[in-house]
Amino acid sequence: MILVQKLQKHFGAVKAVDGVSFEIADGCITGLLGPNGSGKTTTLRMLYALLQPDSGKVLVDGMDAWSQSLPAKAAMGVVPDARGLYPRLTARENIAYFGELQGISGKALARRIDALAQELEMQDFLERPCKGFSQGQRAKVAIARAFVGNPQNLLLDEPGNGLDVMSNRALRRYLLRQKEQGKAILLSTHIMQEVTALCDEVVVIAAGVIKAVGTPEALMRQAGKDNIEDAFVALIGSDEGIMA
Amino acid sequence: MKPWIIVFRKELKDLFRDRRTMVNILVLGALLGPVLAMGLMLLAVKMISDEAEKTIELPVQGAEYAPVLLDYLASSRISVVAALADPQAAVRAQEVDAVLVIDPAFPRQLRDGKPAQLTLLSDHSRSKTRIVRRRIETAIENYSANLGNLRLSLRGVDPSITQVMVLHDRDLSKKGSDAQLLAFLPYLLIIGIMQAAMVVAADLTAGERERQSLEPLMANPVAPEQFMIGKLATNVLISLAVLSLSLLGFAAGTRMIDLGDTGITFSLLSIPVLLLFLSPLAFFFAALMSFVGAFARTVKEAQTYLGLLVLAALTPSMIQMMLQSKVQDLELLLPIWSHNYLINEVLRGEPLSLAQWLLPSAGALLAGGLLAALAGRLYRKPDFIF
Ligand SMILES: Nc1ncnc2c1ncn2[C@@H]1O[C@H](COP(=O)(O)OP(=O)(O)O)[C@@H](O)[C@H]1O
Ligand SMILES: [Mg+2]
Repeated sequence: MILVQKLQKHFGAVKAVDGVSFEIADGCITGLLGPNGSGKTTTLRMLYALLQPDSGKVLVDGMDAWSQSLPAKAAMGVVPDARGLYPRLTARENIAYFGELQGISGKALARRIDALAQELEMQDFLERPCKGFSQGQRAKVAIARAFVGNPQNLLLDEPGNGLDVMSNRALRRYLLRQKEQGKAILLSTHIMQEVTALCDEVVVIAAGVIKAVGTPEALMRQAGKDNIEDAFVALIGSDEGIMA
Repeated sequence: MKPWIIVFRKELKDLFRDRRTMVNILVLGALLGPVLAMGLMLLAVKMISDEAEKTIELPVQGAEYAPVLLDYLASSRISVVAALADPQAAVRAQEVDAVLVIDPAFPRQLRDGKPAQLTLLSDHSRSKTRIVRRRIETAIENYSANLGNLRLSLRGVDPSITQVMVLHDRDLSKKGSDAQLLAFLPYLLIIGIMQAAMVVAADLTAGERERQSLEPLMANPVAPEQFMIGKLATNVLISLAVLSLSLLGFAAGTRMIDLGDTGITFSLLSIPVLLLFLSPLAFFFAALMSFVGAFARTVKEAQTYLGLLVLAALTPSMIQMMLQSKVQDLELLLPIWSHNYLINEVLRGEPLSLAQWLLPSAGALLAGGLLAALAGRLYRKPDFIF
């Protein structure tokens, strides 16, 4: 479980994140929904402690993300926006590197990678060097290496970007199973279908400020609309950037 | 396992998979040095022996005034060729190495017992002509001395009375020392290490940013400095491997080619000594390159920066090669400057004193540690990660 309390972050004159609070509950997929430039990536980077908040704090299973960053990071698996792999290493070696950094090794690590490969349908390319992988294959490796340590909290920054239908479905199935196992999952997105298909709870963010929080149905009721897209436009007060 | 060891093992594996980078490192770092060195040595040896052995062709203006002198020169393998139309122009145009001009007054001056006038035209700025010039001068001085001794003997005077002093010239350099030829060896060794450090640093720091793998990497539960330490260790190991290879290359090279009687030997014993002595320098280079390379966004950009850095860092070596001055006291603390000088001492067969071991190592470790700490801090900066 992750608690986000009154986070603020500015870059020069830009208030990228301005007083954001929400909760990522266990056994639940939370969506951070917002147009481009609304502060999703900046918020996530403060969650996994690569950026220090100007004010406010993040508690990961009770640990402060910034001052106790090592145990807090150990409790999180992160798929950032940047998903660079090591092209000369195979998919397995890429995943194993992160696995060792997350504290598992040897037979346990090999077994864990095999299980992930099956779950994410990546057996075909597991032993191949990552050079020339398709977007979908790269995304799967990035997800597998982030979660190889089996952390309680999963954070994904726009995971659907550039994925084809098949990869997207594999990813969704994987996240739903993780939720059933009681994991706390946050995924940031600007894609409506992802929200309706996956999320139990939606946090709508625009210009660094939270506009609404609730289930997709509650948000539609709150906005007085019968589909989530119209509700989203009504909630953020413009349709700028949504279709991007 | 310590995180930095995980990073270290991964980086080594990753580097060895990259044929191009490895060939770059090995060919440029380890082989180019010895090959270049052997080539230069062969050339130098050949030039020296050629000039010392071969018959010099010497144009003489006014050969008819000194037939006996010219016979004497012929016995010293200096053969007289026909006079030139414009001797000065020929020397300037490097068509000939030297021209001897005999004054028409020469026979009369000789007969009267006055100093007889000869002029040797040559270009002192050309190193190749130095040996030719010296041989001609020596031959003429010998002839002159012989005649002088004869004149004294005829007057009943012991010729040795003109020899007021005799200066004996004894060479005290150890076996295996031709300073001239050895001067560029440290330079080549240092280039080799730096080249390796540069290629590895560009791949390990800028490469990680270019591939966009730094942010996911830093999201792992590992202190940022551990990444820097692991990458630095990789760099030091590869640099030392390149150094070992090039030392072995030098050793093999000096045994394979005929270096004549230059007295150059490259003792196998100096290899471990140099490896140990240069390890702190390799650390310094790795830290320097990692720090500077971290400011580049792409590998290409990093290679441009670091290439310039290599040139800048070589300046002390080049100055040393020319000055060949002694480095002592606090100067020993300066990395590169002191190392360049002391590599030469080791190659010459001189044992290093305690200060010569400790001060350069302390200097390199201190400077390297400072740069490594700065590089480590970068790994905590958002501007560096994203
Ligand atoms: N490192 C940075 N330096 C300067 N401005 C930044 C930086 N990162 C983000 N921003 C700015 O902060 C705002 C929020 O960006 P971001 O969090 O990336 O939004 P999103 O992920 O929702 O598209 C944008 O206006 C962006 O330009
Ligand atoms: Mg973003």
